[in-house]
Amino acid sequence: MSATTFLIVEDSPTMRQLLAFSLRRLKDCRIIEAVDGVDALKKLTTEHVDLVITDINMPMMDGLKLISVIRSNARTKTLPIIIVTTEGAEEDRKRGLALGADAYIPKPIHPSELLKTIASLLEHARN
Amino acid sequence: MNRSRDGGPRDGERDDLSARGEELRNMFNRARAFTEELLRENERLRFRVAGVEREMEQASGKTPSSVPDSVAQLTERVRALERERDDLLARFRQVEAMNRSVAARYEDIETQNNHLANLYVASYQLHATLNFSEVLDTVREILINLIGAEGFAIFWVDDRTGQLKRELSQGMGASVPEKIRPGKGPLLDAVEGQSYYADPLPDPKGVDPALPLACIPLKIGTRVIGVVAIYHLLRQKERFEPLDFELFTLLAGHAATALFSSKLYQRSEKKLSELQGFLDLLTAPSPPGT
Repeated sequence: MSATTFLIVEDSPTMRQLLAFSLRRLKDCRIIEAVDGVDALKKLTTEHVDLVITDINMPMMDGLKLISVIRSNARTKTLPIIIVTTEGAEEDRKRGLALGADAYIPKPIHPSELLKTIASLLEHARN
Repeated sequence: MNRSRDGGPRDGERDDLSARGEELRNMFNRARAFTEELLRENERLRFRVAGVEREMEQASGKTPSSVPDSVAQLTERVRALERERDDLLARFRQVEAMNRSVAARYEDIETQNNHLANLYVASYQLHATLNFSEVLDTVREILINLIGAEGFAIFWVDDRTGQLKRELSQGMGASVPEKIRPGKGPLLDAVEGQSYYADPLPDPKGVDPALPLACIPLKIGTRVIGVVAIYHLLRQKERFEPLDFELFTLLAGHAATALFSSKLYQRSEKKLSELQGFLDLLTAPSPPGT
């Protein structure tokens, strides 16, 4: 079985490192990092990705725009997406999910919650 | 009876007698055989009766002693099974308690892992650069992403005036002045080296720059070089958690040294480039004709 590839889209190096640190606890995983939505789209065209974890507030292209683009592309439209953001309001959550995100986790994150969500989405994607 | 002249039976009579004798003999033989048969049957029945009597004796003699034995055995078996069941229940409870303990320990380890991951990442990022503004950005990222602070300020202590000079303000608009003279309260406590955490957290409305929710002195040894003041948290963050206090401790030490050393490095770089320019000027060959 090949490694699961995660794309972390986050402008904060601290948060990128923390997310990567948490994900490395999973068996057979490969992590790709992108600093914003534009960078993420470039990486998505050249790499096979199994799951995207994205922030909302980022320069160049924000997370919501990135999700719209991913969902409008035939190759990536079913890709599981998790939003990890400081925006914790209910309306933000609804907006993110309405755009096509599969899960919405407000910061600060609890790695166990993130890993559970990832496991559930990957399981769902495989079935 | 017909008799002959000499007084004996005549021939006809003699034959008749002989036939009757024969008949009697047969009858006698049959009677004897029947009697013998009766005797055999009698003998057989006597044996059978004796057998039955023996069986009855055995049966009547056995029951009274064996029943108590069976009851005792069954009672003992029930007790053994009860003991076994009690043992199994005790072991089951023991295993259950162990399971609970392991689950609690696992949760503790998970929490510790999470804390260590956050602390590692925070300290790694703080010391990953010697650029002052990048270190300041890292402190900001730690406060937002790892602690969940929304409104905060970082002050530098002015050694000459004792005032707090604002280095960074986030999510506070213009409510944090550029310079604050710490009066009695959390800010002054922080300048004197004491951390402050509001407990319980007050109403988020109406932020007073002199009354933060948390105030952490940035210390190098015992010297306080700056103060981190947190004024309000992200809406999903309801209270400070144990990890936050560990991050505050880390910030107090590591952020202080990272900020201080990057500031010194920045100054020395500036001085070095000035000196280099001065040296270049001194050692440059004079233009021809001067």
